[in-house]
Amino acid sequence: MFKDKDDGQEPDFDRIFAQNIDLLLRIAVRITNDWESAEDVVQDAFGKLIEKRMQFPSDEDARFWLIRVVKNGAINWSKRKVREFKAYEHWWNAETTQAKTSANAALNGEEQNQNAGTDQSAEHELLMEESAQEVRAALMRLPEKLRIVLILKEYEGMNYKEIAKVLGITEGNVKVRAFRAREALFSLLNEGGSHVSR
Amino acid sequence: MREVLMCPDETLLTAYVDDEVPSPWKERIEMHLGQCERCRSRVAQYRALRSALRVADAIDDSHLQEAAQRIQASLDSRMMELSRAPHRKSAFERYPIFYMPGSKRISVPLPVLAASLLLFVFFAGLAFGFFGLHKNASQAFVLSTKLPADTSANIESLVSTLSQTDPSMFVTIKAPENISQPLPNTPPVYVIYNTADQKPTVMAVPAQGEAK
Repeated sequence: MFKDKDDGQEPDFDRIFAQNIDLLLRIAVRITNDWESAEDVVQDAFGKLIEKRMQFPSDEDARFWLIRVVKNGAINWSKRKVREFKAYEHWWNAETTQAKTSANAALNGEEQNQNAGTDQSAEHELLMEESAQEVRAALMRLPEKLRIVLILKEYEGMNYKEIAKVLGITEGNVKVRAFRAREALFSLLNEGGSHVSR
Repeated sequence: MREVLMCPDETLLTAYVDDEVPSPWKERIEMHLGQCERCRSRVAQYRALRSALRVADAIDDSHLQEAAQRIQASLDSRMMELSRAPHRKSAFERYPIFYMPGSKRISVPLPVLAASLLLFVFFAGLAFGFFGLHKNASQAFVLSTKLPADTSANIESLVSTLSQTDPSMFVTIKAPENISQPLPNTPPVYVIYNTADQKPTVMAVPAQGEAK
């Protein structure tokens, strides 16, 4: 599939790389929430494409294949990470709770000091940022099957048909998952008392 | 009389927000939304969630570009390495005799191919007597050459004796073909070849009338 540069056309690999690199990195980092691992996962996917001299009927098929490989690689990385840290879970939870308490206390103090001199737009920004953090956290807590559908739909603007091709499921299944993902996100945000929740 | 509204399935509402509902269902849902406060509120919530997700997206473009450049540099060097290494052609390309144009390519791992060839040679050998059989046959032949050529007088008694032997035994009698003269002072023998232990037994031919 990799044409020589002499034929005057952009080589296939360069074109496929240019078309998909940003999309793949975004998908990977949204799954792993870690840039370094996202970079590794995407590099591995393209490496596989080169070494196996993969051939695809169209650029679209190449894109679906790459998304699938990156998605699987990123999910596997996340699962591995979860396993690695499971042993420290108890310690981690305790540590996080303590950190949150002191951070909240600091934030409250800071807010009180700032409120005296800040205007309404700054307050609104802060609220938005807090809300964004809650949404990000809730998204990360969604089951992988639901999260990937939301990532591809909401962030990459893919339609149900394309998502179905990437995930190897039916369009009907995508429709159900798109609904369940939102419902699950609403309940997670409700738990956190976010103003985005219903 | 008050009209009872039938709300669409909830998955249809999210599909509607995702612009995945075709006409005329899309228009019917819109008509329903104009009448149903509950469904209108649900749709508004899904849209609010979409906005919240977009606001929450914290992907730094400069980070993205740096990562993309690093990946490209790494892949470029890998492609250079691959282009320097000669491309090893597949077996089908190297041996086009196996490749029929338009036919479906099948891939056979080399160890499986080697094992199949060995099995083929082995069974072909069995079928054509390459292994074992010719060895026993030649042994029987060598032993049978000890029979004097002139045994016609004893054939009758020989047959009679042999008919009393174990039927599971395989008997080879071969008269010498290249001996013009009967061997003098050589007692006639016959060979009983046992297929079970693959050992020939050489026995003296009984005199005429001796066999029952």
